[in-house]
Amino acid sequence: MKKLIASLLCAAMVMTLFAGCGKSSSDSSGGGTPAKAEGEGEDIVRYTLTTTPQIDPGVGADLGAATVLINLYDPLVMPKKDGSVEPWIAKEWKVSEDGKTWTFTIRDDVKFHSGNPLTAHDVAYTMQRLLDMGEGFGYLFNSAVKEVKAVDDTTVEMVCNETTGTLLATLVRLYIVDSKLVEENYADGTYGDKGDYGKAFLLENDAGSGPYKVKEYAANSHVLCEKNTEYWSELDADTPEQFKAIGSNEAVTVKTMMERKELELTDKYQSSETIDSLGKVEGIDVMETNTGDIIYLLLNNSKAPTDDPHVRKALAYMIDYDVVSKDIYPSSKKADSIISQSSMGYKKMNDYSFNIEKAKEEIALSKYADNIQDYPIEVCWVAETPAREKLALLIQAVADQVGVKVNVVKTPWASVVENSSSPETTANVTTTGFAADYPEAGGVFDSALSSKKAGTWMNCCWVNDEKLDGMIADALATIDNDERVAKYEAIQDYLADQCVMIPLVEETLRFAYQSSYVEYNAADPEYSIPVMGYVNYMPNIKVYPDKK
Amino acid sequence: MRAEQKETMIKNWYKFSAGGVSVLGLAIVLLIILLAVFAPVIAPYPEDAGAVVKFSESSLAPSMQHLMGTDTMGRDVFSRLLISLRSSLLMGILVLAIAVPVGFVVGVLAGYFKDTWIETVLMRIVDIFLSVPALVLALAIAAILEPNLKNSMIAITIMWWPWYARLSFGVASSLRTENYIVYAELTGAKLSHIVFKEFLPNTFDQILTKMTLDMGYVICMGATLSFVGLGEQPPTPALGNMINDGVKFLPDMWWLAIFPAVTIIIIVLGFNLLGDGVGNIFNVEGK
Repeated sequence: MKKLIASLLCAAMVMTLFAGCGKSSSDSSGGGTPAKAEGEGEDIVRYTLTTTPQIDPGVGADLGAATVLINLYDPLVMPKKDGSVEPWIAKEWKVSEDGKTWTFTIRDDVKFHSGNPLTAHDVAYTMQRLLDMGEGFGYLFNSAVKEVKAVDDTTVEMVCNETTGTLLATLVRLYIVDSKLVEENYADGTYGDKGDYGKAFLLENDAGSGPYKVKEYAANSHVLCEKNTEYWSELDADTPEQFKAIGSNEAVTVKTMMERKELELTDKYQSSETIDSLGKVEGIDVMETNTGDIIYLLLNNSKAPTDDPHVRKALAYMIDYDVVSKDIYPSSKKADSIISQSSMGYKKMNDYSFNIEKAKEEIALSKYADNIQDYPIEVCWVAETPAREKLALLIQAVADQVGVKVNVVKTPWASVVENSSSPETTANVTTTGFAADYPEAGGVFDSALSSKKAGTWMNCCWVNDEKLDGMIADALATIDNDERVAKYEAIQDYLADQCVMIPLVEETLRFAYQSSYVEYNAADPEYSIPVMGYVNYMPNIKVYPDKK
Repeated sequence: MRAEQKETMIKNWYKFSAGGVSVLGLAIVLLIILLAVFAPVIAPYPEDAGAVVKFSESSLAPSMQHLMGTDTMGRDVFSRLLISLRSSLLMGILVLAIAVPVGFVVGVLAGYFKDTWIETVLMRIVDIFLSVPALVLALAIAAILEPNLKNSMIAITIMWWPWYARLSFGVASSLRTENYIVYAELTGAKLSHIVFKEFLPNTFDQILTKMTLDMGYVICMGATLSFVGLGEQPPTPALGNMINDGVKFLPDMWWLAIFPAVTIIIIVLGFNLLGDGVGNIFNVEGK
């Protein structure tokens, strides 16, 4: 009997081991399970992300970073609900006749969190820092902006290499930094007299003027920010006093925290099962919104066997789009272009449908017809996004019927970003999803297909097509909107038969939120801004702690 | 002779079944082996262990149609569990089939050549392996190699053999001065004869007992590697990756994680009880 009890205890330990493993990520999420819910009764909005965001506006460029940067910094111009921009730090602007020189007049009543006044010099410094570092959202300006200078305290001039029609739209990502504060915090680095350009400092601190400022940065855990009470623009009294971006979105933890009211908003990567289950909890509702996000299969055009257009097309025929839009991404609709229908410049491209016979025909036409089994297709899904595992397994199941071997690879987000840096390390297929950095087709072409900008998580198709590069550059240089749209459409026509990447669905983002005490206008389709990150724009979220 | 053999067997069975629970262990182990061997026949949906998705049947709770429910891809959990038993048992058998002979030979040689440089070299190598926590070592090895069942077996084998080397070393170093070893040396017996004909029969009882006990632990270790994604790769089911898939949906879809977890408990329990019974036959104390 003693042995039986000992064995049972041993077995219980095994259970504990697994339970412990299962919860390890939640421990690091900062969620924990304190006796009293952290923030109980407090005026705070907490939301989850896949990782702790990089809060240096010269470095961070993914969704997580965007959700925090928009709250810490003021952009030069502000995106609007309809996709256009409105004056923000730049009160007004004019463009020279040749379309190359843009002159912005800067507000003179804005102060940084440090107390320093925001001037045209800070705007010029911010742009120069992005151009010099070439990281983060710098890719939006690298090839466009040649020179930037502050004419006086309220005037800044940007000279472009060529006529640039999309400059204004991209400036929603120019998050202005406090140049004096950053200069005071230079450490040793590789940027000559600029040292590290303040990277070490901005890793954990902010130098912005935005509606919120960093209160606490805990690496591998969270970023806690508090309201900027001296914000120059009006902030509703009910906007949260603090917000916390938690760098872990493990489903069980998210569910537990939501049920305990320790979390106000979920992230967009939760599976439909998790969101549905949370939606049934009293006081929690599900907000559905569409911000132009498309779920893509990014295909590595430079790696066997996806370097053959027929194999790529075969993959497009292997997708059961109905299942994807119904079961994996509920409420979403099939995408028929790599550009979202809500973006300027959208045009319908090839309409692939689920057809195993056609997939087999395409394989037979490819150069790998005889030995496709020797070239397993690696389908990578981001470990923090459970819905994409279903997608990968769906592809694997159909590929099996077509006679194509598919290896499903679970890859943490950080590794996906790292692997995207070269065609050799990029998987054949990367399941990903994003919206344009600015709501027009050029945003996707430039960020995801231009070979000059290849090597990022968005741009890992390795197309290397000079003609395509030329067409993109030409379209972006076109100032006239109608003309630019025509050029965007021509690019979609050109790409239609090449299948360089596969758009799957126009994703309807689904967030669970504490509807009993949070007013989530930031993601409400009626008010939401179709730019990545704005679903967590705190000035558009109201919280009523007394209703908790 | 036959009567003697029969008597020994009865005596052994008496010793084995003395506590009663060892018989339960034997029954569990036999049941698991049978289920694993006939899994493709018993499993109601054997195709669900492969590349299959049936979203129309996803996330169903246990019912008569799906005894352990279905997962988020619509695959039958019971079928996947049965199929996963095969790789789990295979892992236990293969790991021990490699680790035990290697560990035995190294340990016996070191024991036989005690106080010589051979013992120093061999046992220090063993010490190096034993100084690194077993799970950490296995994780490190499995992470370096491409994640699959074969490599997770290699990782566990590398961390497992030193324990057998330690055990054999202890026995061999105490037996090396026994008369029958000395006589064998004097009559010019070869080293291989001494190792396999003299030492092996005398360490067999301890090794067999440890092996029986270790089966459960090896399977558990394999599940741990698979839990963190370093074992069988999707869509092939393994106990660890099934639990990992399931914990995301606790507590609502409890059947996804609980059934594989309970299966591991039963396997470990079964081999532990069996190991104790085997130990009783040889009068060897379990771990």
